Amino acid sequence: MASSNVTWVAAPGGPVANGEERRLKFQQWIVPYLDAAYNLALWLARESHDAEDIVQEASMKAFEHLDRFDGREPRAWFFAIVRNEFYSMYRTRSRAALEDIDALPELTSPERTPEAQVIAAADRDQIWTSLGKLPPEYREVIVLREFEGFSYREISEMSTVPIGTVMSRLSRARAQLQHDLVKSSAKGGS
Amino acid sequence: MACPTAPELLEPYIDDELDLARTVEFEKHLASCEECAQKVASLRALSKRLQAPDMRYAAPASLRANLRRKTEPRPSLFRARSSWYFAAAAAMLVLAVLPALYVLQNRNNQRQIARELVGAHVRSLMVDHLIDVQSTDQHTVKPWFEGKIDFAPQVNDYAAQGYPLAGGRLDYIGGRTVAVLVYHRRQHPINVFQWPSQDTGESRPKNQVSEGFNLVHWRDNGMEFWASSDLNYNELAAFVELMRNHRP
Repeated sequence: MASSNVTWVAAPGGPVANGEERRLKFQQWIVPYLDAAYNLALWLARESHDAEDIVQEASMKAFEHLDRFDGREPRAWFFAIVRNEFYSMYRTRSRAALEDIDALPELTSPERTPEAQVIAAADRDQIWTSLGKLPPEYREVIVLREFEGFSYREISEMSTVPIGTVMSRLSRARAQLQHDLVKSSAKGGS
Repeated sequence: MACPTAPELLEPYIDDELDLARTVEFEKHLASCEECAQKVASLRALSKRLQAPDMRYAAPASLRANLRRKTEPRPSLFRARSSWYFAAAAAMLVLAVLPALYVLQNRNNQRQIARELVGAHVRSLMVDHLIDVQSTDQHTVKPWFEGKIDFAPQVNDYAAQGYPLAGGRLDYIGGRTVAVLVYHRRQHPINVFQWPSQDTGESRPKNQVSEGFNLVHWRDNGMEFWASSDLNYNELAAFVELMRNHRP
């Protein structure tokens, strides 16, 4: 389906130049994932202007490097560029070392088991706020795994951390998120 | 009390990261462990909630427009046809000897019109203003304009070529009422503005980009034509060629 969307009509009369080929690749491999890339950037950066800048920069980098890309898993390739772009922006801004796993507060008291219904009913703002409390590396695994369906191995390759780290971040992020959603619903709730 | 046997299998299980043997083993365990069953249920609920469409944000149109502008070739139509190049060069020479004021004023007019067109295009994309008469039939659209404007717009359907007619409307450009035809190319609307020209003589299509939209202007049979779209330049130029080949 995507392929019918990316047909490029060659300029009338002109031979297909090298630049033309690159633009074709861009249409095939990058453009179909712009929405998903923007979504990732927005959940990471949490600000629409930043997200737009990140995806624009990343897209142009991808465009410039397309000649050297072999076309395998373009989505993962593009996302890796997007997240790099985010982290370089994030590091320049905060100049702080990225939080590691210890930076997350310990979950307090063994909460009663979060109930599936409470989580299912959580509204978007609530999730946005809860995810915002997590360091970006943790938000990232949530987006890559839950929104985009990448496997542990793919996430590990994209973010160049061991699979074990991906798993512990994911687990930690989920626990924190569940905890937070249940807590906020208890606070605001009936 | 925390279940000692399963924590490291629980999430790989819901993420489909266990091999078959361990999946079967874990499911056996699940059947007998209330605690793990509850955790699975709540993790599944979380996944399901996060995967709902309302959690996704789409790339804004401005991002797409910027990327299009930056990655797309915008060969002027002159480069595509070398004979046009000479025609254009000759035309430029002629223009150069005309009084500068006239040129400037003309250019300002064109710019002003381009601005108004983009404004009209953008408005047309907002709430229900794209189309006043909705029809894919040129024989419905063409008569609709009768009595509303003092000229007969060129109306053709190019569905066979991949640019189906969607309808028409009236708009207001450069101080006059103009006819607008709306076509679709995939998801992209194309607005074609037309009105009688004060200049006689033809003008070949010329493209420009304004606020991320591609605009093509040409003049045929005493009519001014402007096509505007967020469509890429090449497909818009192909569409313009279609229109020009079908002129009455």
